[in-house]
Amino acid sequence: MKQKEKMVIVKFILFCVAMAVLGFIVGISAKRTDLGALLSQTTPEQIGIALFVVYGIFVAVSILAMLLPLRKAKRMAAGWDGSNEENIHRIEMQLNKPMVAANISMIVCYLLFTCCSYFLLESEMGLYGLSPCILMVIDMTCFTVTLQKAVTLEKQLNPEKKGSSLSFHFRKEWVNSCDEMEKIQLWQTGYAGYVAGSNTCMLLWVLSTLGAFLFHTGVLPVLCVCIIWLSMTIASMREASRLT
Amino acid sequence: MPLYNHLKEMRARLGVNQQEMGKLVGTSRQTISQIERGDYSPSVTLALKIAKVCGVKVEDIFSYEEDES
Repeated sequence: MKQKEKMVIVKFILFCVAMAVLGFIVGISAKRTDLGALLSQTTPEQIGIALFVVYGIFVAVSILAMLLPLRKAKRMAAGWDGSNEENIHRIEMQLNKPMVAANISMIVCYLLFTCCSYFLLESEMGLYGLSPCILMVIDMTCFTVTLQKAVTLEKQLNPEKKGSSLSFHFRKEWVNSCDEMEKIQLWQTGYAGYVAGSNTCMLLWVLSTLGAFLFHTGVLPVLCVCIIWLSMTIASMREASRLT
Repeated sequence: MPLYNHLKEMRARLGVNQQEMGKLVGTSRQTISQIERGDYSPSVTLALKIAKVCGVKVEDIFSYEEDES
């Protein structure tokens, strides 16, 4: 066996041992900390209100994180003479910022919306329990506007790009207007996303399994994680077999 | 990457910017920029298209040198 392969096996065994130790520590800590008792001290109303405040702050920060870099990118694009190659590179980098902020904000908003609504509706706050919907609408509007303006600016900088962010076929139209290098970049970013998603699913499966046994969270989280993992793997395998 | 190119010089000779060069060869400005920086090796088809637009042979623009290390 080659030295390199031996090192890989040794690393793998060390990783398994480290994970076993970590699992042992988590198990012992969970046993000693009575999480159930800790949670029972707070009411759903208190948790709901706290989450609503966090949600509100998050939406406000998200709006700034989306609109301010977009405004700067627009200003930079307006001042571009069409030939300075360093400047256009900087504008493209700047334009990435609101896109990243918009996408992260959307996912975190989904999470906060569900958590906040759950606790507020569990409490006896009546229709106030629906207040997270207002924040959701604000964030989604901001997300849509940011995406649309960013796409318009991108199309202005690169006239060969096609598609409207409001169209149902946006992704397909956009990819079709990409050239060979951009398509390779898309596959590379997609692969990085797949690897990150698989690793996250593995970690979440461990956590949700621990949660099911130690905190009685049930099997639904495990089911959700495995459905996401399966759909990612099947989609990837199907495409791989189509291409080979 | 052991692929070297003189695309920037060729483009300067034609007197076009990256956007215009992209349009001439049917690709994006970013691709031209990445090729010039040596960050992307174009496909044979694109390399041939670039050479045709520049009016030279592919070898006059692109050269491959084996990495010694």
